[in-house]
Amino acid sequence: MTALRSRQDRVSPIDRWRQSSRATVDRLAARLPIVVVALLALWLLAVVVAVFLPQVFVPGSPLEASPADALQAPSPQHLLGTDQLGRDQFTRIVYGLRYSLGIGVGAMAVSVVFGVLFGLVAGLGGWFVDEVLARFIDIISAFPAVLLALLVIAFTEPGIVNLTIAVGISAIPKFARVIRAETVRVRTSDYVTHAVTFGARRSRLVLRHVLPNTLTLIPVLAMIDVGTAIIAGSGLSFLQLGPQPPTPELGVMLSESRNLFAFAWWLAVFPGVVLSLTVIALTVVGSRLQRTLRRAS
Amino acid sequence: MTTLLVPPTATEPVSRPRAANSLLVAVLKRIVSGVIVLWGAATLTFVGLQLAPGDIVDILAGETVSDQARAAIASQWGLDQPVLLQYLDYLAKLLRFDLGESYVMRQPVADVLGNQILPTVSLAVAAVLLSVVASVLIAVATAGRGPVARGFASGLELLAVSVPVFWWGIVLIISFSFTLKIFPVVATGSWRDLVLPTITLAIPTTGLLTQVLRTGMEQALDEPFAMTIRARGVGEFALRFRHALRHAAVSSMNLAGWLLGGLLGGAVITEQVFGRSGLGTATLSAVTNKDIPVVMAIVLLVAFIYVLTSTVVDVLAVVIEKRGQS
Repeated sequence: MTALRSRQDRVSPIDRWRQSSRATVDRLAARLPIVVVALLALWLLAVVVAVFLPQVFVPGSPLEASPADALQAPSPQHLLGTDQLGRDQFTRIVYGLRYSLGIGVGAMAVSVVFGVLFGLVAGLGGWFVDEVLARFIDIISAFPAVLLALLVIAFTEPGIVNLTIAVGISAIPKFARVIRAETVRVRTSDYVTHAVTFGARRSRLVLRHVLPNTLTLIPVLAMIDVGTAIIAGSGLSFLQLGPQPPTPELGVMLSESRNLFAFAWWLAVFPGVVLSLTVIALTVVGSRLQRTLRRAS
Repeated sequence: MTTLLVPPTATEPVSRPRAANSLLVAVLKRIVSGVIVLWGAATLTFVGLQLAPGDIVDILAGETVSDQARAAIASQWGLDQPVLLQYLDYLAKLLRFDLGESYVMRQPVADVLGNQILPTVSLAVAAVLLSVVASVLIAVATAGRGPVARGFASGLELLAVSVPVFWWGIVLIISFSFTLKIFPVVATGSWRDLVLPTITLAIPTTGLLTQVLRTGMEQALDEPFAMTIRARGVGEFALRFRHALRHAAVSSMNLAGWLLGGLLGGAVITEQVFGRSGLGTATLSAVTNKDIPVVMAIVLLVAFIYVLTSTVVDVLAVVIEKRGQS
């Protein structure tokens, strides 16, 4: 029992920072006027619509070039201007959200699946298993996210799937640590001890008690992680290690037109604003949702 | 001071040598676990390389070469050896700080990277200095203040971590190089080249550091000792700078390894945005050219820096903690 308690106390400084950083973001999100939060939620809704039904916002295709219209400033015809090939930037951004969000959600799924797996096994396994997995997680954390992704892409090929996996791997430790701590907490809690004394089987223990209790943590953590993954993914796309031109991914768009920023500010500004606003909206709305859920339970 | 608070016990003289011993054990434990992480990192990269699809000989030789030539190349690079031997050879070389030979440049990796270290280190050092100064100032000015100041600080923190680094760089170039023409777009060799990249690289780090420092300071200002110091008539400014900040600094020390690693990762992107040469650019071209020894060397180098920094910080923390106990 005491051994388990002390295992629970092993919190890494990064986690402690994460808690405090979550706390500052939560406080900010809690203090934001409801109007702002509602607008951000509306923005997220629009992003989701853009992902599934881009035709609602734009009639044309993101790849349709018309050289005669190249590099036009924003106007009623081209709301956000056109790029060097005369493609409408508004159309490209609306379609681009698909890729950015796809990378974010896909990477999050990779980190959640492996994080939950490692966390559960470490929390439920014996001392040795826990120690080995803890070291493994330490090793993954020793690589900064960008470099870990670069390593994965060097071993494979640049591309959207490999990029998504690479970004996902780097966030595994975050989920594994949280799930492990929560597993240990649930496992040492009174009602599970109670169930054990009544002879509950291990599999039943995991499926009925540990898993449902730990998984409640996932949705909100995951929502905020999508934001982090979008940032990491767009950075790697900007390095042209993910989707290749002419894919309208936001990072790729910024990288493609980087030599034109001196003449065409709109090509630099709008993709970045949309990207940042989406990440901010995910963080703030995620934090507010978590607050509401916590109050409700 | 401590003798007043802690009543002396009969066991104290006996426990002294044991305390020193347990300190040594704790320190050794940290060092051993640091070495294990490094060995694991080296092994993991090696395993990744073995699992990777495609044959290394293809990268070295191209795909059109005859089988004979392929065999010659394989034996030249030691790729015809059993995997276990290759692994041991790789570890033995790493122990001698031999990082192998670049596939593309056909020269030792250490030479390829040697020239690139200085620009990146100067950029990283400048960014560390800037983010420490900026985050200390912001934290001291806003910790525990009214809602406006704190809202301002947490808004900045949110922006710093939610906006991609490369876009900060682009925004800075457009505003300060293209519009205001204060800083050069193309490298000129003067200190001015360093200003915008430094700011870009420092923004996310500043956001993180400010969060940690501010939370730490707010906790410290709530402690009874803060009231004691105020009661002694020490000014608010001195209280914040000399006492609360010191408390907060200890907790942010723990993040040093992580921040340094993040900085080197951020350098890859920052160097690209500003067209600078350095480790980041070298890494990127190694990744695109499949120059795997170079990529592995850089990744291991950064993991080494991370482990070294975290181990030193951990050991310091253990020493401080144990000293406080005795």
